[in-house]
Amino acid sequence: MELVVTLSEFNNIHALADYGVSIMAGSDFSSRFSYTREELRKIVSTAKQRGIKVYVSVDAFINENDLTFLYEYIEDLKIMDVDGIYFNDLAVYNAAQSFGIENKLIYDGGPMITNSLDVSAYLSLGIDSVTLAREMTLDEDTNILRDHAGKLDMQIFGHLRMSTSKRMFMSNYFKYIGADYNPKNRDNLTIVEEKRDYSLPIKETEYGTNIYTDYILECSEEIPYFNRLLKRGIMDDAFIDFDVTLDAVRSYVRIRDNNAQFIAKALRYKYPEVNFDSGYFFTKTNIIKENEKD
Amino acid sequence: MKKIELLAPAKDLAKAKIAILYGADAVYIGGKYFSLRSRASNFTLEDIAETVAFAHERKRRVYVTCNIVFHDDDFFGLKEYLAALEEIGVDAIIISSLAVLKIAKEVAPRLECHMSTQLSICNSAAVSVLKNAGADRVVLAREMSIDEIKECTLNSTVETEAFIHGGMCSNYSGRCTLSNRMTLRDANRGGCAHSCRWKYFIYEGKEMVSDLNVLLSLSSKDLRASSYIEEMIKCGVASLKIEGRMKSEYYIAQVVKTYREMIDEVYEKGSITPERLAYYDSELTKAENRPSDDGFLSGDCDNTKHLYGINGEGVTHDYVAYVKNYDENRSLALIEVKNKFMVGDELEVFGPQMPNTVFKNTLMFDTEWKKTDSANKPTELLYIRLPFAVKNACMIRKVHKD
Repeated sequence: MELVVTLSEFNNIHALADYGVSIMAGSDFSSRFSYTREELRKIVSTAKQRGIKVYVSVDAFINENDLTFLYEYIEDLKIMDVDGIYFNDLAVYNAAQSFGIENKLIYDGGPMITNSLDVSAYLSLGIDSVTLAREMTLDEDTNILRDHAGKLDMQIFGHLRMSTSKRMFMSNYFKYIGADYNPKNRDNLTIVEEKRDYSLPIKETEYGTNIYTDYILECSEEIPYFNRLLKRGIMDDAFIDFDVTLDAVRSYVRIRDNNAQFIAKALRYKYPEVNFDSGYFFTKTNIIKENEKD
Repeated sequence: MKKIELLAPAKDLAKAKIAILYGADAVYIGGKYFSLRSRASNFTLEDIAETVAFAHERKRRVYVTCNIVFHDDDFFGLKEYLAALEEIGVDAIIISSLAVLKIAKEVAPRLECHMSTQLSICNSAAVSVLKNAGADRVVLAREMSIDEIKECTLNSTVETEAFIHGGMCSNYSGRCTLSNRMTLRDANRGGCAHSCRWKYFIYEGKEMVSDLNVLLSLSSKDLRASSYIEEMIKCGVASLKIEGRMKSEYYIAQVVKTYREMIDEVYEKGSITPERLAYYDSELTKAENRPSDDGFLSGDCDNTKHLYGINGEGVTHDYVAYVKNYDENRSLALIEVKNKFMVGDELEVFGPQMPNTVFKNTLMFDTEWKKTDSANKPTELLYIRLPFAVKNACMIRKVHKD
């Protein structure tokens, strides 16, 4: 399993390269990253100098009138010779295909890929890999992984994205209450539902608003289940102190390479104040009310 | 030129028939399985067959939703189900999975495959990928402006379908798992708990920055695209879709009838005047229980398009009775009571292919011919004096003075 760590700050690239992990960044059409094209070029060249792979996230939904710009961007990514492109909108596939680089694509439809047959359907497009949804149990994950060993990616660390909206929830709200407050591109905003305690990170960018889980998915203990089956494990450092992320990278690398299962709980012991969780690995989310059953 | 399709939702057989009688060209319904609206009283195969027979008799079409986001276990019985739908004569299925598309083409090739808005398709390049995969129609994302819908439709070589009315997901469809976290219910398998409509505090670090009197809600106003019908017709969209498989028969009747008349007026007269548009808007308002606007059709969704503090503003008309029969000799209609009303109330009858007509309720009898002044038992059958002829399936609503 290759580890891919999101690069929220350019300066973190060398610390990550020291562990030999790959990185993920983004520029245009990315709600996750806001690097300029030139900054992205610098990231790619630095990664190549350090001998690590670099992946680019193109996670936005593409407007019709942005298609020309998208094609130009994908061609530029081909010229940069990035190692892979995570995409969400099928227009990216169309563009990559026109430049003959669809084999560098990794489909990431958020919660949309939850079965083996859909993985097959997307792989049949000639793309490199498919990212599994996180709203599945470990049993479901491993069943799909066995069907498609070495052809799947999955987030294995970080806050999970729960919602993707084109709406500017925060800007609109502050305008509504008449507050002079600019919430754009802030990493320190959270929302808490009035009857629940979950503190959910929320981020508004030019592409809209994303909301994330209160907890950080942490699966040191589960790595052995998918270490040999998963192509890439994604570690997302959004809203997380880089020290914590780096410790997680160190642990994951040791567990992956040395089967050091004895350190599986070390991260949780070291950061007892951090809300680590195993996500949906052991929690099914198919509850319906009794009176809603057939 | 092929006339644009008006596509209406139906929660059950009775509502499917209402939608067709009131002017829908096609209805979409959910079966017992594989459908996203777990709370809708979904159709058995017998119900689907009856809906298809009723629709085809009137040259209308029936689509069945199979648009859950499938987990491996969910595929059990899918092939047999799709084959049965094809055998029954269902015209199309609405799906969100490339795997289901492939399976459907293998086991039920006569079924059209319409790609659901769950896929949030926003451009013609994505439409093209789905066409190449075998899709017969693509439902466009509700996040598109009218200009984007026009361009996308013009650049697409497969039919497009656009939403024109009803509830809006606050997120891109399918890209929301708030319910999973908050309630352990999977929104993509029919369990959406509408967490977007709840109220939230906002914190910057540890400091609360929201207004305690008006908390954040992610909820959006409903969609109403009445101002854009003409443009959608002219740009070649194949189908105009009304959202709301959970909605009442009154809602379905009112909304379908209004858009039916709007569409027909565009075809007959070339356009809709501002006065006629105002009339149609007032008609749509009668069915609403939440405020509406044009969503993303006019561009970005600003703060005026969100709902804060309240979820609805109430309705201006109450649906009080359903007309089951009319006796022309006695000028009496047999009605089924839906909500309370009295002798002396000002009421309005509306129905398929008839103008809305206001009348004063002067006389009512129960089924034993005893006079009564009050209708206050839902489902009770009563006779009511109607000074004009009406057809079955008309509805009566109370007119509020304010």
